[in-house]
Amino acid sequence: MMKSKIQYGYFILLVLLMQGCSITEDPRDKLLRTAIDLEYEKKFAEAEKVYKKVETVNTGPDLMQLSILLNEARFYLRTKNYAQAIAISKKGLQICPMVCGTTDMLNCSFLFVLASAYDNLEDYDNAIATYKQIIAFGPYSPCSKDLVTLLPVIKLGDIEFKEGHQQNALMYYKEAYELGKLSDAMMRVISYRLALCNISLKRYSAADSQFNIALPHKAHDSAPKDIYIQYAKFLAMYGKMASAGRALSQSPVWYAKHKEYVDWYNLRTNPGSRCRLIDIYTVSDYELVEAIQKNLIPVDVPHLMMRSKYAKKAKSS
Amino acid sequence: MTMKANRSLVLSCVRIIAFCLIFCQFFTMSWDHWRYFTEDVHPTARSGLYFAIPMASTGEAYILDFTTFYAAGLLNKQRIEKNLSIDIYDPFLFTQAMERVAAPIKAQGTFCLQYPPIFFALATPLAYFNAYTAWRIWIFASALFLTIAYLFTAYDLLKNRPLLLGGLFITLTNFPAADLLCLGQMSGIELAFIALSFRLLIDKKYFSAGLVAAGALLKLHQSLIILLPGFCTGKKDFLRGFLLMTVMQFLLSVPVVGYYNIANFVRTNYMSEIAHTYGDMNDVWWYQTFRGMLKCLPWFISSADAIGWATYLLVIASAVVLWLKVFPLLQKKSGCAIQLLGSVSMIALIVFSPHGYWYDQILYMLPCLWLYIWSTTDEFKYTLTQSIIRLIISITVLYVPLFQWENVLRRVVFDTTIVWDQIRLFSMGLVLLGCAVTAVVLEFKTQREPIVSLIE
Repeated sequence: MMKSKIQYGYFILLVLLMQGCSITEDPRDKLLRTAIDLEYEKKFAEAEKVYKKVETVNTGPDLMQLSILLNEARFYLRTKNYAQAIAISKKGLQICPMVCGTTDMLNCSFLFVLASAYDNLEDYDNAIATYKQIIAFGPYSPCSKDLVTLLPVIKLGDIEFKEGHQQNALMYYKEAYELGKLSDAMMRVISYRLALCNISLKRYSAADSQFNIALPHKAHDSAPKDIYIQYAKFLAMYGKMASAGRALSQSPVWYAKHKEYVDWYNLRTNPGSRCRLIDIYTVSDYELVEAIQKNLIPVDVPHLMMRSKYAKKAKSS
Repeated sequence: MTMKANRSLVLSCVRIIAFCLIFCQFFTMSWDHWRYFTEDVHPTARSGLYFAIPMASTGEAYILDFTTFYAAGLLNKQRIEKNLSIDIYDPFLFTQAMERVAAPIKAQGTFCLQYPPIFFALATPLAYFNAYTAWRIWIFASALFLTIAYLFTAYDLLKNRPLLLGGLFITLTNFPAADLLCLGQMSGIELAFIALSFRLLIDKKYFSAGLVAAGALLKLHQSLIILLPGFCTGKKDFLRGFLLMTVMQFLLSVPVVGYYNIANFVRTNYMSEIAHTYGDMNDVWWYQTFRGMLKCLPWFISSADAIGWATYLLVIASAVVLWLKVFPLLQKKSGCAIQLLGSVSMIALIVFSPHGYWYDQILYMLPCLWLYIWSTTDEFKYTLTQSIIRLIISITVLYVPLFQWENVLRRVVFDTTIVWDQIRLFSMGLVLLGCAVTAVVLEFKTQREPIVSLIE
């Protein structure tokens, strides 16, 4: 009897210890996780409330506060509240040198959010200056200078392109191409920009080959939102129907396969899965498939018309 | 020449021809892997794009497994150098450390570190180098661990059969070892601890086996592979060694990560809010195990976890019964009792593990090697039928890994449903399991005198 009481005592002690451990968890962790989960579920208003609540729980300048600020700044960037994104990243840039030092790479992450916010507000001078600040962090990277330089160079090219300086943009994109040619995804990203540049410079043949690289080839490939629209416009302008037919020759089979894959995949992954996060920020090919199926994309887009013609032809043959 | 000697010669010839054919096939794959490494992996690693592979111009990146280890080392280094009392198991701080490596590119999602504190004794020194150098050191160390595992397993036979070293070449240069080395995963280190501990169990050095087996706690879900046979055969001696090493690991962890981070490890991994989200972070359909296969099939999407866990518990129970009841009997009949029962329990625990990726299949190296060695030695003690079965087993354990692993890298990519690959991998695991079970049954049916009576 006494023995079993002692055993119960041990059990209760164990439970208390476990609970004690659980209580010692930083309360900011739980709140930040809730905010991120809400953000993934696209409940932005609720997520914002939780982010603000996390700020109130903050205890002082430490690594955790930097983590909160970075997540919050990205959240505002995603919800297109650029003024807030700028304010939060500036706050982060003030705290970061105090906690981690002036050459810490976390400064770089804040600078990228800041530059992107300026870029979206069309404050190009500040955006250019900030992107160049990021490039200056190259030598401090524990990984490589190329990795630090790649995105800012693409963004600098984008700004030059938007300002109508196609030659400068082309120069930046070529630099980025050299840096990022080892990554398939970046090859597509840069090729798309090179294609648009080449169209502006009336180098249609080069643009055509760049488009062929840029188009998504696998179901999970991400691509810029307007890639097909731009491609269709280009084909109509260029009048190169044979090439278009060749490029899209496998499309009916390809789309059917992708649809099957997407249906299979979505059933098995949760919204917070690392494999799916990329799709929250960029529109991938299979979202286009869904858009076609839901008739969200108008049927008078030339390349889709060609595609359906081809499909009929393939079916009859 | 006697009839048995003739038969042995014929079987050896057949085996050598099969071995040469399979070796040639493996060799072409080795060449492919080498080209993949020199033309794709190495240049990308040098440019840094291998450690954080950018996916979009908005900055999302796929983070390499090695980068997570390196980031963990960086975080602990920061803690040591700046005298911070930070929680190195905090997922947000860990993800932040990863962003330092990849900046300005950001990691996809929030990462958790599930390795015990002793892991930082391996990861922290890496942080004193840049990522590329650290990765090369890690690859070299992992290859060394794999070599150690191989040599300890084939230890007795290498003197008389140096050709077995060809198997080491095949192992290191083919899938899954080649992929494991590039990714920088930990299964090679885990395998070395398991192999060394099994070697000590075979030599009946139970205390030392327990000491080494505690190292396998690095990957908790795989440690059962050695702990079950260890506790069942070595009993108290094994337990003593195991406890001693666990305490030593604990004591070593205190200066490495700080005493408070040992509690943080327990809390973050098992008790806190973060622990509850583990299930969501990993994609079960991506596991190359029975549970993963179930998740891929249309009929088991919702019940895969329950069935997978229930089967795993059943396998553990069966393995315990096997070691407690069958092992003492087999030990009397065979000198390879640990190797043969080890093959059965190890293959079953790998196939039905609740967590496991393709690189974890490097663990098959041990049972494959054990079965191959068993099926090619002591030829004179078996009947003709038994010898033929042994020949089939020896060829199967050589060829199945090839069949199992071929093209997995190319197939398991994000544009196909991996159902057929999962079924293929699972059925091949079952084939290996079948070989191991057959070997045990065959060993019971041999005509030889029991070892005990021979000794007497």
